[in-house]
Amino acid sequence: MEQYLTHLSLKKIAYLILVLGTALIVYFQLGAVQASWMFFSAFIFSLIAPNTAQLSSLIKFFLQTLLLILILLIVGNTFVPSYLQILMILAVIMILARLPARYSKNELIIILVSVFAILASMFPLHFAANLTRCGMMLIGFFIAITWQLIIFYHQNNLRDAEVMLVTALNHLSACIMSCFLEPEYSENRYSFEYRLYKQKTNCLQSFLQLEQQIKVSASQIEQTRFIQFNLIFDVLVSCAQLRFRITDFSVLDVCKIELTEIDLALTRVWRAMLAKPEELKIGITELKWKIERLDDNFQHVLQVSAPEPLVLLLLIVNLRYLCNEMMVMVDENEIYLNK
Amino acid sequence: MKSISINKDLRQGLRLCIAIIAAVLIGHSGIFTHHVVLLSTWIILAVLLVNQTTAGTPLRQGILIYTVMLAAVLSASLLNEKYLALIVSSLCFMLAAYGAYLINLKKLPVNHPLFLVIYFSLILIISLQIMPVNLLLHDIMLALIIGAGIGIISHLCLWPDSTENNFRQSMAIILQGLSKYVHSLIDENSAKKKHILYLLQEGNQIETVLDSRQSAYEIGFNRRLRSGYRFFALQIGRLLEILFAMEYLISKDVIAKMPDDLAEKSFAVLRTNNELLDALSHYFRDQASFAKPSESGDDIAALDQALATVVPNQLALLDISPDYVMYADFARELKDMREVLRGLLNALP
Repeated sequence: MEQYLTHLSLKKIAYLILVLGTALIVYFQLGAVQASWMFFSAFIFSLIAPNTAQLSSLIKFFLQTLLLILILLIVGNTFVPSYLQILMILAVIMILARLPARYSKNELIIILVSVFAILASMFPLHFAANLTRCGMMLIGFFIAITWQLIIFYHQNNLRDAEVMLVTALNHLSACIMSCFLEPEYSENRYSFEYRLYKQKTNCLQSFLQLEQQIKVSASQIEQTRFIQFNLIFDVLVSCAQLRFRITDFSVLDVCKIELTEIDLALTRVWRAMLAKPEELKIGITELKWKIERLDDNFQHVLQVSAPEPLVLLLLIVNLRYLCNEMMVMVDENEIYLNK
Repeated sequence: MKSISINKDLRQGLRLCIAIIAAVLIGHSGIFTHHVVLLSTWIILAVLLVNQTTAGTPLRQGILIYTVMLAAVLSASLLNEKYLALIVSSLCFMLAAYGAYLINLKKLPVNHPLFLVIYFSLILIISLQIMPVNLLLHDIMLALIIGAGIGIISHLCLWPDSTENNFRQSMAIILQGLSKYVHSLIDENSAKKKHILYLLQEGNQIETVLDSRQSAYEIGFNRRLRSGYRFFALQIGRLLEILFAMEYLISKDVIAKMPDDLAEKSFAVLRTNNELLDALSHYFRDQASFAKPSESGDDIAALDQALATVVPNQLALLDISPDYVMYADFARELKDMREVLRGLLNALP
């Protein structure tokens, strides 16, 4: 639930409401026949706009829009014979179909441009009316982009990318622990693995986003923090190895309480990393204490009763590594906060 | 048609072009007596959207998109008040845009359910604002059926995406990436930053380039292929995890701290693992000239022996030095990797 209420998502909701409100006001003020295109384009652009006020992203977005307007100007004219329009639409579709692999990975933009091109070509207008239509689309674009600049101007992209990464790591650790704690894992292995695969993918993509932002900021501290996050991810994945190594999952019932406590402590640490850095140290200390409880159980019960005690020992060791890496992160955090 | 080997994007573009030509011809063939242009546009829109499917389950995805389009047109016909229509379409777009923001649309394949919400709001707003549907509801529904039919048939008959080829290609890419990474471990002894980033880059490529892994989990996917695909997807995922885990240990200088004999034996296992990876990758690239490699497991036995001379056999004594646990962990990762590779090779026909 927390992902729906972060300051970023609230910003996005505010942005969408403002675009919606402005588009409605402008729509009724203009009252023109072509005003629907303005309304339509304001929403399309708010849907595909980059969630940033970075100049390079906005310029790229503006150029994409100009290209779209140019396509509409060409295909939406009555002086172009209809067979030629069909040919142009086909050419546009062929070019667009080639784009995803070479230029943009966002397939939605390609689909939307095709929809616009088809609509414009099927309802061709005289040059002046067509120009008005394109002008309306530009107004829609400017509504979306103006609010974008206002709302996202003071956005710390680096911090946002980090928040997304920590959220992704939180979900990954919860997913890993669910494999150990849910009795259904051994029966519904593929559905658990699919969830885990999605969380791992999410983490990898968040890493790439953060890496891009670090490249922009070129900060040494951020670079160090990034490597630290990498190590935390590596250890988390290493902890997850237990699900493949263990042959008898009933062994985990013996330490279910300890594992549940570790799961809760981990969630608290991620939350502290996101919102309450001052509580991070306490959270990690608590996590350490929970790991020691699991170790106690291991020393007294599991070491004797488990058929493969080594794999459980490796889990405990990896959890300790995780704690250590998080502790290093606390120091990084202090530097980060003092910066 | 299947035998013509053309690029995936080009194939998709050509297929769409042929489908659109068919849509225009059918639209103007006299099937509609009035509003021919308007109804042809609906056919073309249906063709365009129904074609936005991925390999694996195109029929199911096409029918879903058609149903969503139909629902949007019917909803538009029920909204007579202009203000109400504007608010409903705006809310739908808001929902779609917020969903796109939360899930990060750039990562998603076109068969993600969020695209259906986007298509719904798109068709709703077109029906309400640009091409009002009230007077022509029956004809528009007919046009949508024709468009969806053309879209689905073209997807199934014109250069259909071969699930098998997609899967084969994706496996070859992944295995090649993993093999390169293991090479870099062998060559340089220790993991540097660039390796971590390299693998991440590779990971991104793995997850986004081809969606065959995703399709193996979808409802409606070929049942005979599903179990095999899932097995390979799971094992490849495990291989990636093992490499991440090894990377962590290497970043903590496990190899540098190891006694020479143990390090040598570890590298020997790593080299054989890499040979097996290469063989697997070769199989997926070129099945015809593939010969199953044989490995005796002697290197694993030698590694166990070397480990036993360094690390105490008793579990309780492993705690004496943190390095002992690290060596045992690293050796375990190497053995797990071999086990996975053996399983994958044995699963090949």
